Amino acid sequence: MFSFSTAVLASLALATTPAATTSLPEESGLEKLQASVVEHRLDNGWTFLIVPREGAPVVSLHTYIDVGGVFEAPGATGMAHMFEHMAFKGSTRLGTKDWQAEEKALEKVEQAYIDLDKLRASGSPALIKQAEARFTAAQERAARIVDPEAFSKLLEEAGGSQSLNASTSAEETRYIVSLPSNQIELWCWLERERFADPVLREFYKERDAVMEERRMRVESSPFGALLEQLLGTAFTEHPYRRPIIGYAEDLMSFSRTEAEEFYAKNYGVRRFTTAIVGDVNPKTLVPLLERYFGDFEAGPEPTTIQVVEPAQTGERRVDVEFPAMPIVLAAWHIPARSHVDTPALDLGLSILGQAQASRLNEALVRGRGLGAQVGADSGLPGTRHPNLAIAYGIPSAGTSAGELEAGIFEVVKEFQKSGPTSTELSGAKARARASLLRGLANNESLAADLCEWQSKSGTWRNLFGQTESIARVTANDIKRVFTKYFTENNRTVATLIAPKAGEGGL
Amino acid sequence: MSLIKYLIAAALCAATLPASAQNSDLPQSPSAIQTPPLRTFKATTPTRLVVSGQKDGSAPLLVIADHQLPLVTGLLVFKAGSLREPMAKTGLAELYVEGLREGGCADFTGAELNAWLDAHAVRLGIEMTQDHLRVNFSCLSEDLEETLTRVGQLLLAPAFEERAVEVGRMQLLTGIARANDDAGELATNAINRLLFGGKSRFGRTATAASISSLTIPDLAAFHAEHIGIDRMTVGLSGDINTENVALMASKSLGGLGQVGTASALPEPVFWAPERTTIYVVDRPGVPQTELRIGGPGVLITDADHAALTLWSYVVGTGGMTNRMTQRVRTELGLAYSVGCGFGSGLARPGQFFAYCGTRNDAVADALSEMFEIITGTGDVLIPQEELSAARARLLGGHVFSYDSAEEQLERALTLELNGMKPTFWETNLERLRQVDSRSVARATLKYIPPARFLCVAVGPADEIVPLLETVADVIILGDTEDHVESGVEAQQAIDTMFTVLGGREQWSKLNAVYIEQIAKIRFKTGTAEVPVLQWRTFEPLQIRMRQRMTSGLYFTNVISENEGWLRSPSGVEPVLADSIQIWKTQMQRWIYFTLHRLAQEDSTLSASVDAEGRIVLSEASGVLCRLTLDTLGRPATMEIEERGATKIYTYEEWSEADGFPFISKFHEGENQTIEVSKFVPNFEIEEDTFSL
Repeated sequence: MFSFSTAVLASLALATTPAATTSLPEESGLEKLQASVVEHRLDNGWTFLIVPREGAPVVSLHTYIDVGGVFEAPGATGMAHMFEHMAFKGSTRLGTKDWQAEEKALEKVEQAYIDLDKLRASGSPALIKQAEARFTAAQERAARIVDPEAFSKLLEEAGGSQSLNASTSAEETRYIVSLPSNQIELWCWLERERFADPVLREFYKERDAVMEERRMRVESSPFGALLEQLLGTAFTEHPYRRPIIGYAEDLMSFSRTEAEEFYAKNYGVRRFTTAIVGDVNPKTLVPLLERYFGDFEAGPEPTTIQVVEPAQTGERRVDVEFPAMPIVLAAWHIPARSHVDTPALDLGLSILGQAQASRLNEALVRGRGLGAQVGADSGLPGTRHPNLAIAYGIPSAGTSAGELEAGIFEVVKEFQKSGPTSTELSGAKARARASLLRGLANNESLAADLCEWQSKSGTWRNLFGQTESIARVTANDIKRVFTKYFTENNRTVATLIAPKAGEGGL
Repeated sequence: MSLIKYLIAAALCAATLPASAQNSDLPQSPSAIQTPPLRTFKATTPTRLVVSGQKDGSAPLLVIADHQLPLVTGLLVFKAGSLREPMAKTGLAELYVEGLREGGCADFTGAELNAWLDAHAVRLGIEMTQDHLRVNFSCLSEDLEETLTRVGQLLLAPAFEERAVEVGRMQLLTGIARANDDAGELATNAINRLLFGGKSRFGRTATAASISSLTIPDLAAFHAEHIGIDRMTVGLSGDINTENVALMASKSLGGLGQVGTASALPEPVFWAPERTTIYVVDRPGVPQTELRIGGPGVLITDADHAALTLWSYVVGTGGMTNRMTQRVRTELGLAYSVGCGFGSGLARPGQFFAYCGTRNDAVADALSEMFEIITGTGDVLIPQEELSAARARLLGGHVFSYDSAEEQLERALTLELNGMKPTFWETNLERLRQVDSRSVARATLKYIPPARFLCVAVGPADEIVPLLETVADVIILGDTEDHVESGVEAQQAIDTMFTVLGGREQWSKLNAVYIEQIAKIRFKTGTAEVPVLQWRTFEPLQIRMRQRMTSGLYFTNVISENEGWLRSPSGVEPVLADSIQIWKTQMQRWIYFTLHRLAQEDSTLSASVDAEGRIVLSEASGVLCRLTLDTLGRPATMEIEERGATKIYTYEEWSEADGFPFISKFHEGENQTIEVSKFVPNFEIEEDTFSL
């Protein structure tokens, strides 16, 4: 059975709402959990959220940094993600057999790369070949001094092999691991090394691996290829239009020096939030955090993205040729997550395309059989800034993309006209509440949610207060926001189509 | 980019860092950290309860209460996996799942169920694995009783609404049409087809034709065969009152009847090429090729399992520090995703697999590196330090198995479903602790034979074939490529059949049967009932048959080795030689004689599986018959060619005579139904028993 890239969509959609506080008095479990959260902010601005929980002696550690693809300079797309990869490469005392020798070797690698880069722009093929040979040789010499994967090795052998990970989105980067709880000091030691003394060794080989990641996620993936084109078409000015993984030509052109510049400019600890959830004692943990992280400089003032996407004034369309069966993506501009319309949009999208008996499903899959899979979501590609709500569909065998697209728009139009029924609305509210509870159930997801709410809404408490703003939404609110945002002029449609005859394909 | 810029960047970087990155008050290396002992933790043992059947039977109910949040998760597991699909109905399990989940029941429609689930924020999922049907749900604790009730109603009397089944069929057909869009799925299907054979239950995949041919009665029959209280195990975790949950579950699920023990399934037979061969699945127009290597694995209980697991952690499993990731990704930059490992091997031997996605022009380099890393452990012992590191990565995270009530319950259910001892996990841990380099070397030499790798490459054939040919033999995988003799699959099915029929031994010794039966014959002009008594001996092949004809007269046939007699009211007369031969030919195609020959592993009889999934039994002279088996593995139909026409016997009912299974009701073509009133198997025939 095929599957739409739900993982991608899930990572783009946040079940969040703007500021609202207070607890849920009827749910003692939630209240107890909320009361157990300890917030500790270091003088330098790094915020720690600590949640002691019952159960096995394990702890989830989640460092969330307000730095993502939108902060990249033009021509350096993919840099935030590239740095995320490099943040596993160790420090001057971890990952090397001889730092003094390696430092010199790395300088030679960089010089060889700079020379090669210059020649590629204007040099002769013979000179380029020579420069490539020098670059390869310099990399090989540097590689001999590396203690490979020393950083990851320590965490994996301490019990983190299944969970050690990181991710980058348009507006944040996350570094994640879960460990046996007696390994917290090791984590502190390594997290300090990672951010206090990073060495971007093996940069160019890792860049090749990231290029393979791009080939896997975008260039060989029907959905990835379509999504990249949708964003590039729906946004004309805002950096949301750029792929988080980067354009291939950018990826293969930026240097280690530029990655270090990116780090220096953006990774100030005022942008850091870390959640630690599990078998921990805040009384002993807070002094440990002070010892390891208290002497970090606050770093540069966090910058914000000032670019405002111009209002869309007419439908945009893009057809993407790819050797695969068709997919339809339709997107509408919606406001940032902090906007007052967000709860109504969230509930409306739940009814339109997420419920088991969603409007799209009932009409187009179970009803007319036009789609094998349909759905709707929001938060594409981020949520801090005005972003996109989408409806997507995979046509059933024998149905054209155009037929399914028309069907999707009919359902949206009907939903705008009718609004939700009272049963649909109460169900959507119940699902929002249950979704909150499910997210709190395990350490990793609780840590992730706390960080996100702290960073994006100003306080983690809003995680627990979100159902209040959801509860206030009326059927008319949903009707209003869908009428306002889901217009033809505000819409972008991306369709995956088979290559024309003679151009290869399946 | 200038070096000056680099130095400026370095300076900027320092500005964000602590005054001294290497704070002298802190440990100077990880080894200087004083790591306290891990808090002692005792895993929660599930409370063992019982779902009591309202008529008969019961099912185990395992419960772990955890009251931190008002949520409950539930899992009902039935021994009814996709491997139990009839051979001629590939895809049945997938369509059944769609029909069951969406098709409503006697108490509500599919749409009503979805509306209720949406209104109560209940998640309900149904999935089919190779061995089990898994019904899982997550609900608020206040909705547990109603959720269980609805799940019970759905399982008790599913309606398989036509519309729901058609939507499910459409989704499956769309999935098949889109199969080429996913390199990973193409690679997995190709590896399984090559390893096990495309007609094998382990290597087959549903086709548009097989999905299109499935009917609602097929789904209902699968349900009736497998979904019973005696095939069910239930697990619940979360905010549960253990005092009343058994009663609640019995009320909701206890209406299920009993369906009998699930039959044993055959073990897979792994194929390997004579020498390393790369099968290419053409996927034009993409810049990356998916590489796979496949091979045999072992059962989790096998003595070599621990050594192979540890080997895989050295070579390609778990994180960034295994050899394959370090070499292919970190050092060479050839892949983002690369690794290898062994399948779980819970119910049957798992599978060895290795994978890598690499750019098309690097396929030869990447695959060569993978070969070298995999075989590099064959003749050189893994250094102790590396083995210890791999063990630390594997065992360091062991405590996460107890991270949540749900995970603990899943582990307990795994033991329960696979009949493993409660101490299994601890025993397994101890085995892993004891593995040394020599045991790893022994195991890998046994299971990873060098130079006989089965590989699949999914990518643009015109670009990758010339490169791959520098590494090993290359074959473009066609639709009909199938290296596993279908006889293997047939033999597996026959083995299973004898397991279900009480063992090969007794069938092998069966030498004669005595049967009393009534043949109900439908004529154009009406029906007749013909009582028949018959003795048939197998060695020597003789038939004695006495029947009352529709005229009311009795006839007796006696067919011995070389002569035959017919006794009728008008006297005794010899049977002509041609007729004797016809009698004997028919006897050779008789189901009991066929089973006797199969049980004896008669070398003159060969077995294969045809495109429709039937077992074809052949002799030197041609096809003897075509057998299909029911979902339990017993003969369901037997087709024979007789005088240019196909005659089909359909076996409807099985009974037992002194512990020996026999067919108590069957149909011969469309016009005859035979009901057997007495069946006597005979294992020691004396010649004079059959004198006239």
